[in-house]
Amino acid sequence: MRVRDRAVWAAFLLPALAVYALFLIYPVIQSGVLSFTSWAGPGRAATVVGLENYTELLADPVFWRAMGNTALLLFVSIVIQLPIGLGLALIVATAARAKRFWRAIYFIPTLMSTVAIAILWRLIYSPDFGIINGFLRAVGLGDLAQGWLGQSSTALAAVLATNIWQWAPFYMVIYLAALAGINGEVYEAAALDGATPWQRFWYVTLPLLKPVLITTSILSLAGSIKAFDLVYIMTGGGPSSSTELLATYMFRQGFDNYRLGYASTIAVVMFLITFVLTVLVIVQSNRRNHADEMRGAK
Amino acid sequence: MTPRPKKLGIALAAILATTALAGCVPTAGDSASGGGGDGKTLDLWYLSDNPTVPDAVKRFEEANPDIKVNMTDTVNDQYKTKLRVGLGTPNGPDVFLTWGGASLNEAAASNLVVPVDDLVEDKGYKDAFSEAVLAQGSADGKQYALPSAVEASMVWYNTEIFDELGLTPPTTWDEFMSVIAATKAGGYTPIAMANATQWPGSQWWSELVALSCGPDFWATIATPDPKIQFTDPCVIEAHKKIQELTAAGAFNDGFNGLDYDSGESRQLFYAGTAAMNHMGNWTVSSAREEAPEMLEKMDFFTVPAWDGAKGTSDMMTGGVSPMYAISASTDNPDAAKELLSYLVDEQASAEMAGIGRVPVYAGVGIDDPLVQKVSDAISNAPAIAAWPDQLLAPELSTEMLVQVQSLFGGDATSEGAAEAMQAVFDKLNG
Repeated sequence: MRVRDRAVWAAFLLPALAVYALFLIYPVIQSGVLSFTSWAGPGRAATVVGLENYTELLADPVFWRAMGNTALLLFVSIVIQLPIGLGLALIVATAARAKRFWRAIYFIPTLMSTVAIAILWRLIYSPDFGIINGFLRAVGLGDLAQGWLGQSSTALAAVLATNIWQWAPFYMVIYLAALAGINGEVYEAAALDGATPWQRFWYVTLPLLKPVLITTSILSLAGSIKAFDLVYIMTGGGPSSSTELLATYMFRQGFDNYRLGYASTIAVVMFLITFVLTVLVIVQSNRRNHADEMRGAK
Repeated sequence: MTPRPKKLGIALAAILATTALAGCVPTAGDSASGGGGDGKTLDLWYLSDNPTVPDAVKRFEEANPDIKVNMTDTVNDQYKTKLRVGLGTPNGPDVFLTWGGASLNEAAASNLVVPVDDLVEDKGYKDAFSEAVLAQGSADGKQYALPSAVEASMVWYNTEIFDELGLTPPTTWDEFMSVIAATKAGGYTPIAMANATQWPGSQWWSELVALSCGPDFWATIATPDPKIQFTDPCVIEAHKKIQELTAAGAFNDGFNGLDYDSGESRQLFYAGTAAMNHMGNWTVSSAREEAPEMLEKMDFFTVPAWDGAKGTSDMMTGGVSPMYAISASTDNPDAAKELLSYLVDEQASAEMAGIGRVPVYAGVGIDDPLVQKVSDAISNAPAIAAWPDQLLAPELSTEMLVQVQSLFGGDATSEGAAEAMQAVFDKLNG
């Protein structure tokens, strides 16, 4: 019986596993192999260069700049974007009326395609026709009007703001679902004990949201490290590499410079960073869970 | 402890999604025919801004009813990427547009393109195209690409604004700088620019370096042993001219963040907020489609030289383009050659002239006086520098584009930009 069960199991797993292996595992391995070669693209021969790509990468200033920008994106995503998502969720969850309406309104940015968002925000930031500069000029702050995406001093901040605008609502929906799952009785109990709204949030809501906070952190983390489309369309990594991210730099090396081996090296580094950070988050959260359980057992 | 595997699953999926490089090759066209077709279809890739191509294809299909042509048109920057990835694969084109230069040489060296010397012989193209023009599409003594037009960049200006301000086209650098100052004082943006994609800035750079260093720079820079290095004082002088332009406020705000392909610089020129627009002669065909009223009030001059410049004001930057070539992976080389001949024949060249491009086919007349003026300027130019992003090897080209954008944006010094380009050159030739 058990053996047959296993065979049935395997039969059901096989199609998904095959797709997973072909489209996820195989490309990862292929990227790893390519990272030790110099390859100029389809139809050209790949030559093995050993660790050369890696030593070059470590000395590449643009790579480090892309790394710094990606780290900043990661930081902003977790420290600003997630709290905004949570804040939106709390606002919508406690709205006196028209909850669905507000939820739909706030969720619109995440429903739009990234290309549309990137073009929309290019127009918003446009130096001559954009709404931001138009507003500044209208209220007499015309001196502050500038080419937001066209100068290295503001381009990165402009792109990061758009990224927050796009993804904060996504986390809002996740938090909303989690908030709905919290039993109302715990709030009643807290209120009976005389907890203020702030205390109820800090000591009841937040701890109960912890598993979701960890999941969203991992999503945010992976999303930040592989972030590409928004930046690629809004600035192409420029001006002067000021908005270059790991993924856009990988693309530039691969498809502008035709150094697919070197680009694969960047991909491998991205893989390793995500892998290590994710494992750290999981191990940390498991340890905490374990500690909580021990405390609960006492 | 059920959460554990679930979390791991999410984490793994998230991680794996970051390394999809090897899997992210864009697919081309809507049919699976391409190089591996059934013998009845040809895939043609070309640039979006050319309405004469569908006409040529129609003529070809009428003459060859058993062959169907799938046309895929793409805008500039995407085209370059798409072609590089697609050429030589089963999803790639049979016939495609090329700018020649480093990419065509590389494709020829990798045996990804088919020589068309027999076509040149059969169709008598040696009489139709000049030797210099044909040379742009050849590599290692073989003809790989055939030309349909020649293009160059220049400074377009709004004649109404110039008349209003009492300005005349400048013939010296100092006059050019006073024109910039006068248009700015008149409340206009002197020169429209959209440099997010970086190549519009590189056209300035190419012209200024050519003026500063003379023809020798561009004649030898793509060889392993150039006569003039990137760190030569004349290149640094050209960089200082870029800084002089930006310091004078010659361009619209935020130009390094604006996109040429979506018309963000042309818009300023058409709307009459910018007095000048530095761009290729395809500005005529763009205006014809986008703002026909502009044709009545635009004219051009070439960027003028300054005292001490080794070049002269009548030198230009440009190239023989578009050219078309044939992929080595095509299953129908004969049909592909036939299609190629329709793209560059006398009729196609006449239609190119009709939309405001400058044909290179002998005897094809030009009706539009403005296009004729462009044609004359190109044929009278003592030297034509190649489009720098096409001539230079890809990695050097990328560095040049970034450094020039930084020069325009004030993020690089004239010496620093020169040294950065030299460093990549040395690395590639070291």
